[in-house]
Amino acid sequence: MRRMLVLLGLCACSRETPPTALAPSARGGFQDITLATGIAFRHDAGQTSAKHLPETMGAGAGLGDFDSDGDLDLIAIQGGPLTPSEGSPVNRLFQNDGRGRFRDQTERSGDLATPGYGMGLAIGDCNADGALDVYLTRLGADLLLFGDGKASFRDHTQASGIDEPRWTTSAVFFDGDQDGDLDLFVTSYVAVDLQKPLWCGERRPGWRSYCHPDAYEGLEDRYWKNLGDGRFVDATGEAGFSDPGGKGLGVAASDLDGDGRVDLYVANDSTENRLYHNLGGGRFEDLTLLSGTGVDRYGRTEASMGIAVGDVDGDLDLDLFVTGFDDESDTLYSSQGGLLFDDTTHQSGLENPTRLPVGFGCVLESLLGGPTLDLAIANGHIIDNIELYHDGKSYRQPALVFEGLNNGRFREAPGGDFTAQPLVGRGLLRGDLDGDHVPELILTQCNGPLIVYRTPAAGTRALTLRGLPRHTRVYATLQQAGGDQRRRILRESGPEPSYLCSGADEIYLVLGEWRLVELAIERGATQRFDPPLERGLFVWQDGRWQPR
Amino acid sequence: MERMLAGLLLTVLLAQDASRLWGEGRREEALSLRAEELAAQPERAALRLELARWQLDVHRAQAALATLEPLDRRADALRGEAHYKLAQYEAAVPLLDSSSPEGLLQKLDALEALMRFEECDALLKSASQSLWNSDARLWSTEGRRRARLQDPAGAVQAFERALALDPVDGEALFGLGRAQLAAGMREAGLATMARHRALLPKLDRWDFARRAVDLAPRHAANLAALAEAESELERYERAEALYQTALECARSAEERVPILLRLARHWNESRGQPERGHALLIEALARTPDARLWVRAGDLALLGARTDEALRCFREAEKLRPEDAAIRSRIQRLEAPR
Repeated sequence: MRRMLVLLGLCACSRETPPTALAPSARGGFQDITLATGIAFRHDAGQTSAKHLPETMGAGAGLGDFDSDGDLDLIAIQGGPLTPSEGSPVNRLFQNDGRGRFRDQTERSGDLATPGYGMGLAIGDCNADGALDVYLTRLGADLLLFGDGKASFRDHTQASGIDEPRWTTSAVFFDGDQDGDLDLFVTSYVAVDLQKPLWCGERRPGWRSYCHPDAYEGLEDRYWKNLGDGRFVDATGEAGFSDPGGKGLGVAASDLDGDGRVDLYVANDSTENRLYHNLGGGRFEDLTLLSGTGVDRYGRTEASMGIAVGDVDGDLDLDLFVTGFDDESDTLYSSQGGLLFDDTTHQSGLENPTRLPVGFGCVLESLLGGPTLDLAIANGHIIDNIELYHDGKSYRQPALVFEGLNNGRFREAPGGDFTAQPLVGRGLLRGDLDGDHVPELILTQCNGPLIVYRTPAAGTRALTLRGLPRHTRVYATLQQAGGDQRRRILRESGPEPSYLCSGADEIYLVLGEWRLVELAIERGATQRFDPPLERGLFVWQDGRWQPR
Repeated sequence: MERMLAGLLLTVLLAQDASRLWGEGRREEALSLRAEELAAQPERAALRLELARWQLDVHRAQAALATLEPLDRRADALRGEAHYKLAQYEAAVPLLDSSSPEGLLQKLDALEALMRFEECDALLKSASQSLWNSDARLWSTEGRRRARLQDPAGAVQAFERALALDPVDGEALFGLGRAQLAAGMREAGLATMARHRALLPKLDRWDFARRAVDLAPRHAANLAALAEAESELERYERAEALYQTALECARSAEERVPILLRLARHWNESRGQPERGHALLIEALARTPDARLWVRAGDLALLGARTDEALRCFREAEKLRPEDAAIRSRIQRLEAPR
């Protein structure tokens, strides 16, 4: 039975947002604010004439409060030479001052700065000490780093029992067996032999190109069960995960059917995607066939890369959005209830504009000023000389932004700086960097600079919800300002998956012309707010939302 | 007058050269030569249309549009295809030629991508009976339309029609499974989906091989890979024709031998005719002496219980590779009971 908590007299609704370093000078479109944030990071892909596939796939970034000061810090994943050495470039840690100004604190970050060819990361407190830990996926041995809550990390890989020397990509911490600690799922891509690089493309000077993943053997993903004492055990088969030959690039943990248990969706490159239903007790079943999420509506496998999860049609179910390669659109799988999905890309308006670009990172978030979920996609080809082979395609491609219409449809929206320049986009993540409760976007590039964007929603009334157990559904009831009209929206806690990234583990309610009157947690408490809330940070503590 | 005739003759010869080069798979050279001809004689519409066709075939849709620019509406179908390939569907739809199967399917696809479903449905309805009778893709489009209209029973029928025309149509098989599930036929739906899952890797291999041939249409190894993929899909006649083309394109024994080995295996494993594979290899060995071919010929002879012939083949192989232990062991095995 749901508890009903009525909380009166909260004054957060009248609080003004404090001025921040990133405060907009005027309401406008997406603006590149990288310089203002102080984040200076350039990914080094270590590209060579041998065209090793890893050189074109990275890298990601992650947001979390690594120094326990209440704001989001940033880890940017670095590549460097494929065979790293002592002087190779390393991952960078940028500490936030709470107002969106960052300082490079890599030198104090301990083992985070271990050289290695990085791909992505997972972030979470997996040893339950209150500090965020980090799992780094790499070409070569992955690392599990325990955080100390002061933005420093120590290598715990060997002691943890995790031994993962293969090429891994995305990863997520989630409680797969409902025992209260965070387990780990890691996607693996393909087996590459750096000593014997394949030759693809024509044998003319300048025409050698990166190979299609079909030229490589796929690697099975792994599920690491947390034993609760700092050790993990490979429980992939025992838990029911099986995808031999899969070429995993993206993974989303989400309670897709609302049964209180966290399911998993894996995006595979040119092999069938996988949907694993959590049966409880640490057991999963492969429901790909029944769910209809393994292939597109034509029954074809796609080169799936990034994933975003959100309720795009306002029916209080979570839908899946998956980015893909050129000549195949990105794909929207709309939930039909339970774990049944329909590919509704055609009906969504996303088919045409996403067919030519190669999509990677993606974010479903309120970007344009209202509570409806909009969509942003980072694009960029993997073949750096694709122009030689297709004159209508390019290596650098503009990002895309779509306005969500809350009925499963989208329309392309002006993207300002976000869509102005062609980029080699890879990761895309969102998080409120400046404390105004409206998330910014961070885009990573392959062999290019990381870029931070303020969205048109900046300055809008918004709330941040923090502290819920991961992957918990929250239903927010909104009321129109100055009116009686109400609407209910669904959000889920936990980091956004995207591609190689770990977004902020926070929910943002961008309200625009609406006000928050009620929050209900799936199978949990409902809390009413009178007067309605407009702004502020609320933390889930002792079974209720507490203003901060 | 003589000079004009000489010029014309030169143009004809160049055109033949360009076409020959194109036919030989020397696409870049053919494109360059044809572009030179057009620069000299820009008014020749037929050459222009052919160049644009070639440009589309090598994924140069923008170049094709530029080539077609001086032409009138005769070039609309190619313009439509170029816009379609550039995902410029609004521009493509009025230009695509829906009287050709490919043009029709592209137009249907473009209309769906533009969410112009009513036009799409009307166009589908207008397709000729002969196309409905011969092209599975049309029935799959109809199946998707039925599914979109929440008519799973109609979708099941349409996808079944598609599969009757093409049993390895992945779209139809997937669509059928989904429609069966939507119609409440859970067991049948899951069984169909499982069939689709088993087919998928074969279709992916076929698609990958097809793209490789698309890039280099006279590359023997690419053609053999596509032949193998066709064989996996049980499209044996297509496979055999491709193997034949691959052999014709092979420029050396090193290229030819692996193809012969694959084709011989195809005759044995896919067609169940080891003697046909054996005959193929014996015939090839007259031109291409190779120990691997003799060994495979011997193995195939053994499958037909022709021990003497097998022994002869292995001994021929041994002559070419006297130190080869595997060959020696085969001979010893056959000689032992004698």
